Amino acid sequence: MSCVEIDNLTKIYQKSIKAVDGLSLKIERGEIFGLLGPNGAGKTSTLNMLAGLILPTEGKIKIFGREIDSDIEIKKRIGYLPENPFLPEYYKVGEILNFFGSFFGIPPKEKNKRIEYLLSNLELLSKTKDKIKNLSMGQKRALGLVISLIGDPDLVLLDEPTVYLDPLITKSFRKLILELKEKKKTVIISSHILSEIEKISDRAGIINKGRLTAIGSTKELIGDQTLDEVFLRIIKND
Amino acid sequence: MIKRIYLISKDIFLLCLNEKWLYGFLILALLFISMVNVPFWLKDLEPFKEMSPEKNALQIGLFFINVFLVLTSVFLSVICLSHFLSPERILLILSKPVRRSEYILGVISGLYFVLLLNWFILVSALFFILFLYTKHIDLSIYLGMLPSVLLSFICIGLVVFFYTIIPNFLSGILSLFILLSGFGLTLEDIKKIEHLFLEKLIRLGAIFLPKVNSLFGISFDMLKIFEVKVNKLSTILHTAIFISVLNLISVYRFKKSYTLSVK
Repeated sequence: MSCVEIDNLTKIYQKSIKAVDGLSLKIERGEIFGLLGPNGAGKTSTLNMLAGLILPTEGKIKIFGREIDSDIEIKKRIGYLPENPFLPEYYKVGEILNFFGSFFGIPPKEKNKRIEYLLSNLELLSKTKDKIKNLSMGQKRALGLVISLIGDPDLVLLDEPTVYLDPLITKSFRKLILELKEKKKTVIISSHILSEIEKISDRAGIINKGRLTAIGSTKELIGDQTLDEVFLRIIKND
Repeated sequence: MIKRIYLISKDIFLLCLNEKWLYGFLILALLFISMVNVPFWLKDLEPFKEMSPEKNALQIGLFFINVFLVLTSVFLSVICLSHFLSPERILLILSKPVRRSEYILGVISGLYFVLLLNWFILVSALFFILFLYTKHIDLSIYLGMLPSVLLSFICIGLVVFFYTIIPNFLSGILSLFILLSGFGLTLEDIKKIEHLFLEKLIRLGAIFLPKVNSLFGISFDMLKIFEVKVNKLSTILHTAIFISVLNLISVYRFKKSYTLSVK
């Protein structure tokens, strides 16, 4: 059974704007999948539908063999980092993690352990008692990433996770994602930073105008070229 | 489910604690409530001779508590909803194991809690001032002021309901408008209306409107300011049903309206 099964997924906004157009895709357990595409290609809409935040106009999504909708048990197994995560500035770093962690029903001891582990991995442990409004853009982004991983999800959806991250945190992020793979977690990353996808993903799909124009293992897609070159060629030809 | 609703309402409470204007508004309300001193200071003045200073003070207190609670509930609801129903916030919270219905119920109950706290502070201030003059502990003031809580809950319900249709400050204005309509006709007046279609419609609408007059009547009666004949149980039941139905519609609308989350 695939971890994610998308069949003929279509999303139309305001009766005429087709954001996603008949997307079909299967992603296996323990796979790191890169979702590439230019701005407005439909990546964020696809991830939002996978997270159950918006409903598809047509098509079906199955996660862990079940249709998503508002199923709390499936949501507990999904971690989502939106493109611009909203972090209430009146919280301290530790407080917001406690707040989001409470939704998953994790025992307090385990939750604290997990928070400490994630914060130390993303160079944020020293900021636990800092107010969010005092964090830099990169640190806020890293905190968003910690929030998405707090429930120890089996499926992680990351929308532009490395934007604003400095090289040190980016390196730690990469290590964290590879650790997730070792634990047989599935990760879907949508990114503009193609070199990042090239380094960590097993397979990648290129979306343009809502349609999947290329899919395959990263090695197959690249061949002798770089992912940048392949991406530009496919987008131009489409 | 209860835990998730509680978490969201706690988040609303924290947001309100960080809204500095709310403190300013509360101080202003307390200043106005301090006017209940006036009937005690000027008890020999002609307008205050009709009633005892305590009754005059209670009237002034009741008036300001209601005005400030209504204004606070409308402003606070609009401000909190603009934060809590923003697409960015919805995206982050609803991607966690939270149902849409739980989210909106959490927002509503959080607003209720903040308003209840506001009410408690204002009534306590009134209680304290009266105690200074009468040296008599009369806890029935809290009971007599309870209809004000219902009034502010009506406001919250109305703002949330309108916000799911018009997500901006207009929801607040419409809510105030509906609340003011509740002051309008009594059932006796409605019965006198000629049976034209439009008038029948108005009559039907007026029956469903919250009975703001009667709520005040209950307060007057319980605080022993005036003897008012109001069917307390039916008025409270009517108000409770009105609030519940309004909230249920808001929850349903929010649950179904996925466009609120992201475009």
